[in-house]
Amino acid sequence: MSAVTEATVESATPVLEGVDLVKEFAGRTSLFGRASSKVRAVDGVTLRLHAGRTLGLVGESGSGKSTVGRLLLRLLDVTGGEVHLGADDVTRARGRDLNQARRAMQMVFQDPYSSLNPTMRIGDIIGEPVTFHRGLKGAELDAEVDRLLISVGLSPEHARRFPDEMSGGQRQRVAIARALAPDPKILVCDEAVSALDISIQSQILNLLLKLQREFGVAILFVSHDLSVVRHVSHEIAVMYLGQIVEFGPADRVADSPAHPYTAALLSAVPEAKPSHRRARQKVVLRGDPPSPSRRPAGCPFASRCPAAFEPCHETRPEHTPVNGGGTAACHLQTQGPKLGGRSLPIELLRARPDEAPSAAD
Amino acid sequence: MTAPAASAPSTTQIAQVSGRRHRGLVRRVLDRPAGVVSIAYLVLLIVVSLIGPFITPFDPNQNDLRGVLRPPGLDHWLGTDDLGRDVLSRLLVAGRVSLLATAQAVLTGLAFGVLPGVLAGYIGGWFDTIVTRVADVLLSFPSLFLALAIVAILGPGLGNAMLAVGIAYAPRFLRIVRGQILFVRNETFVEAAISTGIPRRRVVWAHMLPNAWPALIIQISFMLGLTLIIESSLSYLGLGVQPPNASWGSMIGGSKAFIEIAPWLVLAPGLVIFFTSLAFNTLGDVLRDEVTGGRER
Amino acid sequence: MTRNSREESAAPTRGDALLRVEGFSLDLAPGREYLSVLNDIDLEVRSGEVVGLVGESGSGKSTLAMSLMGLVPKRISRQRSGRILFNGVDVTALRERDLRAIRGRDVGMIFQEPMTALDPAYRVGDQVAEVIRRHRGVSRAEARAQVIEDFRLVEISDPERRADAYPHELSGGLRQRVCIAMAIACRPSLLIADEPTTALDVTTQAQILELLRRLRAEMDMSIVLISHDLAVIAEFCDRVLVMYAGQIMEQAMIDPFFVRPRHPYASALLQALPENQPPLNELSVLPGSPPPLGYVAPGCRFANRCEFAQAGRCDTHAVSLSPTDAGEVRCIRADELVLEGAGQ
Repeated sequence: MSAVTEATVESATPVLEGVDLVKEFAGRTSLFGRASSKVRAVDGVTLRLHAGRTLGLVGESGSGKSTVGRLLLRLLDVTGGEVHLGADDVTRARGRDLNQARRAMQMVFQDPYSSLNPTMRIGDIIGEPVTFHRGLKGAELDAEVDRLLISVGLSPEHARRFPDEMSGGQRQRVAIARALAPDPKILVCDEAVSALDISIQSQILNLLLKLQREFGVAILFVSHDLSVVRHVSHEIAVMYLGQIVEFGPADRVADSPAHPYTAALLSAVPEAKPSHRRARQKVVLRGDPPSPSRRPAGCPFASRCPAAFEPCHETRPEHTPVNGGGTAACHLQTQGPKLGGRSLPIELLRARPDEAPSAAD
Repeated sequence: MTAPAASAPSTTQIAQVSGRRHRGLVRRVLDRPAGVVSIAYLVLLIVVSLIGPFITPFDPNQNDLRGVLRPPGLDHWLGTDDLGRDVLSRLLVAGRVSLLATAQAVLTGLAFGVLPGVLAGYIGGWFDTIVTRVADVLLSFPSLFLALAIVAILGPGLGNAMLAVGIAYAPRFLRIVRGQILFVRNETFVEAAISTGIPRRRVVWAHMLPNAWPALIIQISFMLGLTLIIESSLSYLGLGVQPPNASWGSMIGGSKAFIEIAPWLVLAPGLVIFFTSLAFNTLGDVLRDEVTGGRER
Repeated sequence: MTRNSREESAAPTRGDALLRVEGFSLDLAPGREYLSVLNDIDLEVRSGEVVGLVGESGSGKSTLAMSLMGLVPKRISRQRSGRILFNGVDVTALRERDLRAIRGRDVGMIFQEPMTALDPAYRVGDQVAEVIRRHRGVSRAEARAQVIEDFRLVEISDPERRADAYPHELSGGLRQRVCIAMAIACRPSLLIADEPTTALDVTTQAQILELLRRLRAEMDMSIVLISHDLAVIAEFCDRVLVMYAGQIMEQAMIDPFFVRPRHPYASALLQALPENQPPLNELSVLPGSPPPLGYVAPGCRFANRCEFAQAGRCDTHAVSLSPTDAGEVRCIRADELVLEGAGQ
């Protein structure tokens, strides 16, 4: 399933590309170690990262968005599909080759309290990848660590501290400096601001925007927070139950969604502006996503979709182009109302009274 | 005799806190009276053992058949033994033997325990299964019994005895290290270290193992106390140090016939063994309290 | 809905103060030394009103929420001044036994992580039934019937089956519904909700907020909602209290607050929201970090991060709350400043 097409992105070759990625985890194991069932956390995801651009990957818990980030960085092995770093296929890279590949792709984790080794000084945490990938030692290394600290808004004297002597915001800056240390082309931010206070969150988002402008890194911004994703992303991909259901330019996806799940997600985001609060049409979804181990045959969203009709429960929808850029995988585009690339009219999402879906499973 | 192994903390108890900061551990231990006293005693003992052979008032192996079994007095502060040798001099020299033997056993245990423990925890799978099964089998024998069996194969002698004790200990260190590695394996900072692209070897030694140190140090402290007693027992049985050299244990063993007419011959080495073992165990307790935040008390 | 008649007579009518905190100050000793965590807190929750309590980490908002029902352990806390009146009774003077009678019966509480509020070893239906039996003294069968009814009320489908489930068998959203059922089992007049949707997905959050909104209307409950999320507060509350470094910095009705905040801190928070800037543009930033627990300053506690602070004025004398059109503000320059909010 080639979910995401080149339609919206310039012809430039992607710096990192995941093609038709599949990841299965062994389900619960029984007493004697036999896997009882497999959970398909990622189910045919294709996405491409381009230099100087940010792809936002949104979804709720269990959507597989964090797994996609780890598959791209080869922190997890794929069950199916390929990972291309520039022209190289790194899907099966191991040992030294993999470590070399990782120089180009780095990650910033959600929780700055657990992602820094408590027994190491900040200078060593940042200096380690510098030494390994760029061979700097002694005074050169110290100078580079100082430069990295300054580039993320810290000062050289922080190098001597331990992580527990710093605040959450400072720690996340350290984590970003560590990620920048090997001079990467790609940065995967996995909920990188979700654990931070509002005032700190805006500082870190600004830092990421600045670093992208300066160094031209490609960013995969994985988050559940649509308003944050929208702010930092050029393109947005929306994941549900292991699949990308919609993809496109950030404005288009956020302002005129073509997939019912995107529309529901957008309408669930709380709004601070009084006028927006009153103007917004609410689509309150019923229930929770089905478990990834019991995957429906048709559209993954069919069980919760207010606009679902017969084909949704039977066949999996293909991605089709959407006006304004990007694609959506929804039968409403090609059958029933045949939207044919138009965005989704909100009226379609008013739950029909005759089939009020039951709450939660 | 104390039972130090029984009071040693379980892996899980320590695993819960391994993420905690343990810098400044030495300073915090020294803040506690029990910590200060036991460390001071052990440091003094080590210093005396190092310079022991140079400060002995008499030649420790010099027989004096005219002055056997003299009680403690001005000449011989701790009296003389059945061959007229100065007990204090022998005690000083024997201390070096005992402490070196103890250290040798624990180092052997670390050498045989740490690496397999790290690999078992890190690699997992069938390797882990085999290693832990072997360790479990070894652990099911009492240390002293296992050591006796190994000495029976290798022949008597202090070096062999301590090698045997060390091998008997290896499973304990292995289990602790494996547990700690398993615990930190899923920590985000380990995933973060891997994601920077540094070699796996460095991830293990620089990021995972340091978090196992606090638990290991506590275990080492308890093990030193236990080894001292096992060394004494083996030497007492004549399987350790060979005459005319002495260890604290062999001093007791060689004097058991005279315990009623010359109790100081047994009392002096006995008390030293008792206090040294107590110091190691107290230190272990204090370390455990400081590492776990005293939550077990 | 059989509420004890004594409470019935004492219960205020809509609009009166149900909960009133007066000059409440509290020190906490998380380590060896006492830290000033709450300072001179004044607040009022009227009957049927939804009040939001917003602040960053270390602002004291959760400590305040816990203090409202005497949940801060006495062992590590020291009250310096003030009182907390619930239905006219000073909660801070009550013994643990009396407090326990109020909690659950007159005041319901829900927390961020529903898993910690539920005992993993018992069926959820039995846990809710136990609360009902403890406060109402009804029979086992009656309690069970009430549990099923309450599960319906909080929109749990198939309530008979769900009542027999263990907490780990339920999704996060369902667990929070169970907690809400437990909190409202005795039809309390006040619900304290501490970050009730923070651990939930955004679509589940919308469901839970919708449910709370409905319950509040049906049961005429007052709600105190503690949250770090300004947008959640904006959507759900009638009034908002902004906390910083253990103090209430501003207190106002929702709409005026979001359009024209009066405190520079409130304004900075609102402007830091990503939705207030064009995408990919720099966000307006509040410099520095939230102060640590126990932070005190001779003057305004926000002065060192405030872009409007004036040396010699803001950093010398403690500032008290002064009235505004829509509430109160703790800023001596409030009348001179015209601040940006979240936009119209």
